[in-house]
Amino acid sequence: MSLADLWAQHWFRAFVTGSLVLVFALGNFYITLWLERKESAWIQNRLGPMRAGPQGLLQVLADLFKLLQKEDIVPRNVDRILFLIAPFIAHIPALLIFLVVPFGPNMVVADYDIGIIMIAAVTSYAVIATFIAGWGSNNKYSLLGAMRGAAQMISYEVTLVMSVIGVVMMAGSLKLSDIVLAQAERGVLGWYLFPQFIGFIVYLIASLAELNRAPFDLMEAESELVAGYHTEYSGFRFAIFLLVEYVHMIAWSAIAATLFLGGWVGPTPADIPVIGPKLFGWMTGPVWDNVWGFFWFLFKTYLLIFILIWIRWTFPRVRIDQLMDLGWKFLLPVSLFNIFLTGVMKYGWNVLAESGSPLRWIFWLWR
Amino acid sequence: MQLPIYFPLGLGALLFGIGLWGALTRTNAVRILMFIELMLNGVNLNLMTFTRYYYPENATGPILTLFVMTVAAAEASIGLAIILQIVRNRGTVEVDKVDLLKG
Amino acid sequence: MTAQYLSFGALALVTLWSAYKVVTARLITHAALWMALSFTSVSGIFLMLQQEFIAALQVLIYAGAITTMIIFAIMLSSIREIRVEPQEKRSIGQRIRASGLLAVVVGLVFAAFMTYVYYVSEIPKEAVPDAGLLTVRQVGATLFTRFTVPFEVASILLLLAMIGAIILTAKETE
Repeated sequence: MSLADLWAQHWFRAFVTGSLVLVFALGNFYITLWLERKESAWIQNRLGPMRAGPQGLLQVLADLFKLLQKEDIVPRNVDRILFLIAPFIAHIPALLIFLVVPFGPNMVVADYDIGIIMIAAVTSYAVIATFIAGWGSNNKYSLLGAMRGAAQMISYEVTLVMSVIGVVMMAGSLKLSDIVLAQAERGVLGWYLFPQFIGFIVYLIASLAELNRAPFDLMEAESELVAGYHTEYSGFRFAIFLLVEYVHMIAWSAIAATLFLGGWVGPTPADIPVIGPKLFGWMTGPVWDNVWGFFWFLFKTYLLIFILIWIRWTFPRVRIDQLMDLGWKFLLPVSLFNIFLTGVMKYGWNVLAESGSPLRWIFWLWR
Repeated sequence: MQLPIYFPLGLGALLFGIGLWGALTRTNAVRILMFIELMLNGVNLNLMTFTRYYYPENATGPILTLFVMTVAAAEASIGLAIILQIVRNRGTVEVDKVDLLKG
Repeated sequence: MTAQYLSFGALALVTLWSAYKVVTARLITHAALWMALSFTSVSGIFLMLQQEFIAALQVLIYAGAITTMIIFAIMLSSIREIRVEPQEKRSIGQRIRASGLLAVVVGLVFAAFMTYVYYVSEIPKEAVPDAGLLTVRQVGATLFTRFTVPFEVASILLLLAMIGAIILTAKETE
């Protein structure tokens, strides 16, 4: 389905699914923000927010209301229009990523042939949005932070795409739903996490850098740059930047879950050996498949979000030269090696699979 | 596509024309690079229009566009590197001030 | 049918307006951002033409890579002229020359002439009916069979550009 058809004929579907994606992003933003506060508290041996609602569940709401109440300050001498629209431009790539992510067997908004390229493409707007925010603020710290961020993001985008190429080679498709289906056929051990373990690690590190989260949060390094590109922002525009950061985090985790952890693939109660079919046999059919798919998808996504938050509160920030060295001199060669390895191993399996030679089990994981 | 073909083709030509206008009038070297990119975009638009209207099954058009993009990227990177060198040596990005060879 | 005209019209307007602003914007950073908008709307037109692959590459290469590169070049090169571009006093004759009236005429005449040629020429004006979508697989297959040599040449070109850019910009170290 091309976007052109969607426009011309299925505007209603586009409207509804788009709204659902927005709701999904906002709802998960809420949960992720709460999780971040609680998890950081656990790591630091605190309790975290406890007063607002059970386990502090309403704390995020209180925070957001506080931010919304604040005055929307526009400093003098800023580049007014750019300053005002920057948070909304930053919003675009974060949400567009969800268009191609399969939430369940039939739950995908726009199943492009070019899924992964599309993700790589829309992410480039994040760089431009950062630059607009930094430039519009007319503040040297903002501009420095933005230029640093831009350099960091474009450097790691290359690595990010390269780390995913291995998965594309194994699945033989750029379409995300095809990649999930290919993993479903291979069983749990066939999830690309195992044959593409190098790719997965590189992806995790690169997506952290792409997200500008600690230990790579150099563009808002508060000890050097005040707060980076959102120094001048306050009130709800700052809240939107916060929202963008978390939606991005959810998006990258969702993609990692889709590419490496099998996406929506997972057992249902009806798969329990003896009693399953009898007790839960009614839980089958297309609707229930989607429900369970969505459940597993969310489960895997939150597993990755948990890891990302864990990393943030464990490691100290790196220096800018260390960051660039890591990206260009280590991660990029490693991901290129991963592509090479995948090619060799896949070729080896293709050659040896028919022969029945015991050597073929070396290549089995890359079958 | 119900749209008559001269609509997208005309848009491509206009884009090229605007790029030409800019490239002929502005003296800032970085801006001239931008206009060259705009002109190449007009060219790409025409290529893709012809592909879609007459040869939708043929991959040659997209591949030619791909090469145009490759060359554009290479040209931009080299061009910007040269501009940086000029700035370092001459302290200006205005192309009409770079006139060492003028007698 | 009208939907097609409407979406094309909107995209064309955005494209042309932002291209116009690239020429006339006073600040060079604004010009770069308008250029990004122009690239984006051209990619929207590619989507209308059902070329998703090229649309994605357009965004990836032009709006992503080239715009960022130009922004970096602006930041590195014309740092003194970023905020305000020089505004000298000009005579009327200079102003007319600076506005590039001749160049506007050249550009517009070119565009009008081309459109007229397309309009009157004998080529069919409508798309081939029942057009199948070109998949990425097809493009890739053609790229690596029929266009292997150009592909390799393009890779070498990119490599050379990369090396050249590094050599040109790297500071001499003792």
